[in-house]
Amino acid sequence: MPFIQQARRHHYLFALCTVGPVFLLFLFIRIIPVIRTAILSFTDYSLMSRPQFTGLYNYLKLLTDENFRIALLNTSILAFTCVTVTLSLALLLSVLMASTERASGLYSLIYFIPVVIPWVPASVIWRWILDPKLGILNFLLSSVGLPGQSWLQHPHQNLIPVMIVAVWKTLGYYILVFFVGLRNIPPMYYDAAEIDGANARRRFFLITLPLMKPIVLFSVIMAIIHFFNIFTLAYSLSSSPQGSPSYETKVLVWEIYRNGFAFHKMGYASAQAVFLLIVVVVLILVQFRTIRYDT
Amino acid sequence: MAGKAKAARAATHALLALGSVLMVFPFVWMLFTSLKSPSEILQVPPTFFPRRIDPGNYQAVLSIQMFSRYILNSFIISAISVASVLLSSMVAGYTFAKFKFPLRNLLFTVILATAIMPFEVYMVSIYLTIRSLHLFDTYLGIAFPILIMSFGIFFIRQFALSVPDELLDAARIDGASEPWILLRVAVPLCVSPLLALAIFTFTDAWGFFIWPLVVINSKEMFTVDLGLNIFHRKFYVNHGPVAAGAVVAILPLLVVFAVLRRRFMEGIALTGIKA
Repeated sequence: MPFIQQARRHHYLFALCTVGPVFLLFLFIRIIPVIRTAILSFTDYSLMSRPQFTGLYNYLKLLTDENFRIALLNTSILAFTCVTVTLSLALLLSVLMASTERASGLYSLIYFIPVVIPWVPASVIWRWILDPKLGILNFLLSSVGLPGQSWLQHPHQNLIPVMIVAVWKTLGYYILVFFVGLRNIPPMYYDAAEIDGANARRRFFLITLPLMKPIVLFSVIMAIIHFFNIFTLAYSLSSSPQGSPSYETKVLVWEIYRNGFAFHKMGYASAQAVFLLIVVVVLILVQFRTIRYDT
Repeated sequence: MAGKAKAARAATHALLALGSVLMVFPFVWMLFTSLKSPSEILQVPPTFFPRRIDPGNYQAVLSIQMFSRYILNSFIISAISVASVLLSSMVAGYTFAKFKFPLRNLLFTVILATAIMPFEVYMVSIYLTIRSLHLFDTYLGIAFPILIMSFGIFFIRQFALSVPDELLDAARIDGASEPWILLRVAVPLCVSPLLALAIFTFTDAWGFFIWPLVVINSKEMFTVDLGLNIFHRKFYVNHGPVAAGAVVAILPLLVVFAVLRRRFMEGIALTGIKA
């Protein structure tokens, strides 16, 4: 009996020494910060003095803040457009890729390269391609007779280049996810369908799509969250350098960043952060609900 | 019909090849631009391949613009993050998988729940924490948010579950201590997921931008992304050196990707499937 008790004590001691410190790290690096953000959202805090409790003032301000509304609109448009384009293309390309046997490895590698490139260099690259005077895109357009555009220099049209780059950079990741999912579909379904005389399109819509539904649904939610949190791309693609003005593409996180770190309105920025958190949580709950209905 | 199948295959490859070009061309174009002399860059119509390879852009960026220092900073920060994430994930993942203790499920669920919260949501709070700890402009302060990864713990736990209990019990009967078992039995068996996790963490850490932007005030501590961003903003018209800077910022990740690509893709694929 004492041996078992001692063994259990060692057991618990080990667990305490391993999970304990790790959980403490989580407490200080994730849990407490989130709670603190929620608390700060009800205050007015400018780093100069102590936080002042202001109740729902910050949240009411959100409703009338023009910048916030623009940012929310931009981010929503960006998220939903990019998710639709990226996932549709990814699905199409991964199916095409799966039909090539040996080349699929090489293709998935090539399509993944933009995913590996960090956001800032990617922005620099595309900024250079989109340069109105020297950029290769306008040159290619003019060589087929189309007029060159003044990319990134319209106050209201900057969203489009941002979306193009976002899709370019994320496509490879979802191609890989879908590709692995496709590989997991037992070939006997396709064999049976071929015996029954189904052509490629019917096979796609009646076998592939339904079996891919869980992965696609999961990817949709994850992609929406990913694009809702976009910041670095918008920041580097539209910050004004000298000699080449461009206009800000306001996204949600930019508003949090500006209010928190440029204006030092920590309380207001926290309210915006809580708003973002609520959006993400709602999306995750939606996903749980749809997956449950599915199975 | 054989003809139709062949045509379909050709069309498939054509489409995929076109997409491949679109994916890779931007980087290749930047690479060539970085190797051109400044006068060649300004040529209209532009040349594709550099007529003469000019290393001047790289010299400018690596020595004058301190990009070598920036690369070092990024490396150190990423290394700290990888070491910390691997250590915490291995140790906690193994324990969650193989040990029963009170509150185990609750703690694990809480840790997993933190994965949902995007960093931008609580970065204001972490900023205040770093401020009170006076950790601005330190490697620890910069790496602080990425010292842990809930997904890492989930990932290792998932893998550790498949380690046979008999192995662990046999070692215990032989009188081995729990730390010894962790180090000499569990870790060697988990090398594969640990490596995938390391690659994933390194890539994330290297591209981490918004936090260094906020927490670094002195130029010596800039990460490569930060340095490139400021350089790009101030010296946009120096297209050559800017291009070299971009290539230099990407190169370490591309090298890691090229060397470890199979692990990379496996790791990423696993994250997508564990739905």
